[in-house]
Amino acid sequence: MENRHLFAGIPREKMKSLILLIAILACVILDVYVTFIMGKEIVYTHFFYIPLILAGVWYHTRAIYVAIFLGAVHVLTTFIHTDFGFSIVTLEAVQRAFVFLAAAYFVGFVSREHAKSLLQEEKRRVEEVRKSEGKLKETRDYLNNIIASSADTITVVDMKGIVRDWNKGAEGIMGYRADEVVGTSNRKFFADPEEADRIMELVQKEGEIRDYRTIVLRKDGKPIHISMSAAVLKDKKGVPIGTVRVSRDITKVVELEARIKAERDNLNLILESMVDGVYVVSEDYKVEFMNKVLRHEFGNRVGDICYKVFHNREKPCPLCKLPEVTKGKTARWEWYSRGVNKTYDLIETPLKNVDGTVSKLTIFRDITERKKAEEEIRKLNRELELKVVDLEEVTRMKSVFLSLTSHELRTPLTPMQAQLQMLQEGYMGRLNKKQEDSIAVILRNLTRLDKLINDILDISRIEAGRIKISFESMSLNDTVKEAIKMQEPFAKKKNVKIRARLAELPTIIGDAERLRQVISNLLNNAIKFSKKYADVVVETMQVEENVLFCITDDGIGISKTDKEKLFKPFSQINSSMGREHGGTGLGLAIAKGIIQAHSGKIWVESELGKGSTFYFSIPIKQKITEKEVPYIG
Amino acid sequence: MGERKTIMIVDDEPDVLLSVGQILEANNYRTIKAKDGHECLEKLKEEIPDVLLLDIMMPGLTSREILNAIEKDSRFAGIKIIFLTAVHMLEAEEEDLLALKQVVDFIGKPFTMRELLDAIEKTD
Repeated sequence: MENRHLFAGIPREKMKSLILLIAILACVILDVYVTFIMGKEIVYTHFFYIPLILAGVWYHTRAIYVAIFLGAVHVLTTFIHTDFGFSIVTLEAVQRAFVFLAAAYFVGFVSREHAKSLLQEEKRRVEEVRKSEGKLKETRDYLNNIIASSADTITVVDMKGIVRDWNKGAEGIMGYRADEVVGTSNRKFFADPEEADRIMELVQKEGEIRDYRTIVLRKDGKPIHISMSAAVLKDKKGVPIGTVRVSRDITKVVELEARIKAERDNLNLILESMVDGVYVVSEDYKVEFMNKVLRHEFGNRVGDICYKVFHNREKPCPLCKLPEVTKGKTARWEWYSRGVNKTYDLIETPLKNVDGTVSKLTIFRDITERKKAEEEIRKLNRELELKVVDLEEVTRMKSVFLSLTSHELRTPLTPMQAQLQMLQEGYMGRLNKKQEDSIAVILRNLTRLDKLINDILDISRIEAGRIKISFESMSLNDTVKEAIKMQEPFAKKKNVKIRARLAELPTIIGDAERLRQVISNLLNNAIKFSKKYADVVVETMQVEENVLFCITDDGIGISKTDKEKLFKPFSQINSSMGREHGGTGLGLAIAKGIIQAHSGKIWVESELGKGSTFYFSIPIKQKITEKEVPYIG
Repeated sequence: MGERKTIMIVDDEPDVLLSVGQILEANNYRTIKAKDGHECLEKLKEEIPDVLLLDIMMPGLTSREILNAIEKDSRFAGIKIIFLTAVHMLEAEEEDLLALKQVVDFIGKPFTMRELLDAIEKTD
């Protein structure tokens, strides 16, 4: 109200009109008195302006009525005084009345305009107040809504620790309703009741607290981790009257943090206890992590610039893979450290950080020992290669030696056999019985010697992988029959009967001559080791995609240990047996070589003292591979 | 068997030469003996045999060279050739020795009289 009109402050309207009436009456009395009693020697009409101005100020333009009234009184008194004559005095009075009128109107007009503007200002002021009151209400409602709907607890606690306000959020988190706790002490909410005092003290001291972590108890006794922010509430005079507190349930966050920490601790433990080195370096070449192995080897360089501390350089190393790795590529390479004299297998992988940068994770695997071992192996390999070359030379020489030997051995055998046969046939005259027997013995042993040479040559070829097989379509049964026929005289001599059970078989691809050699050998063995008057049973059958040959005797059998060496060269179980049974000890080894050259298998089932069964099987659809020179013998 | 067959024996081993000769002569064959390839070709100029018993591994001329000489001369086209050898397995380069039409048989040393005589009789 500071800008009010000077007189606008006068409170009572009645008083205004009374003062105005008195002023008007005073003017009228003055006018009558001066005009009629004193004459016109004094100027008195100036006093007429007092009621005129008052009326103008208070009643605005209505002041003209006062002006008309006072003008009329003045003109009338003047008129009466001059005896109703139109003198100059009367005209002057009329003129003054008009001046009154003009002055009243002017003051009234100015006053009215001023009052109007004041009114408008007042109106605007009122409007503003109304508006700001609305806003205030809105804000209050808004705040109330926020407080009500907040998931956080918002509480007011007075200076004595008594709860004064308790929002919905607090109800939800703490389990207490507002009416249960408002007016009670807040100490019961804390797991440690002393916390209530500590918080109050802290808030008062600091004015406010932020993210203060503590543990509170729900109504049901369950502890909850909260993060509290609080501030002091003051009254109008600035005296503290309490604290307002906003708390958030961070139990899940705390649990998560604990889990993250546990996992990070575990991860750390794993990294620390790894045999391999683990190393992380940032995009700007700063060492971020080194595990125990690396710290031990290179010292703790975390926080340093890698190329400076590890390589003594002023710029990143030219070989460094960091630029490509931080672009998302992985790299693997070998690095020799002159400093520690070790070779490492490095695996480098991009590591995305939370802040969006990418670091380089490097796993160092110490491969120094492996490198040494590899070098050792390479050396050994070179030596071995040389030895292999030597061995190949030895094998070649052995082959040449055997070939020459056999040639040289056969050459003298040829005339010996020819001469003896001529003797036997009587070319050199008749022989007596003793001479005939003698020559028969020599010839038999010549034959044996020849067979031995052949067997040795066969086995040396098998061992050198140079066995010659001429593959042709053939019937296994025919070959079996042929072999039986050849062994029949020997069987008869030993009083052994050969019994054959031959199933119908498909033709196979094989070397009939070589297979006959195998079957003859097996038959010969069976007869040789059979008891007298016993049977040797020969069987053939088809088993899936193979033809199977088996021969069973009830002879001396073979022990388990002997079975293993049975198919090895020169392995006749004991050498005396060789002499007794007239074998070279090579037959089964040659048989194995021949069967294997047919992609087949040969094996024996036997029990010592209970006889043996020898088997061989040959695949039916054996492809013809005639890459080697046919054997002629 | 009308006429006696003439058989040339070529072997560097004198005992083989002697023994084979004895067997053949006892069986009513005429024999010509040569101790090596040169002698063989030399004697072929004088007389052409029905059968040539030829050792494979000999010093001097190789079997290949002897065969080439025989193959070239049309007068020798009627000779039947039988190899005698202590090497039972032929190497690849020797294998084509058998390709020649005149080569009819192959006897491994040591041989029995029967094998020898059978092989010669078969040449008829």
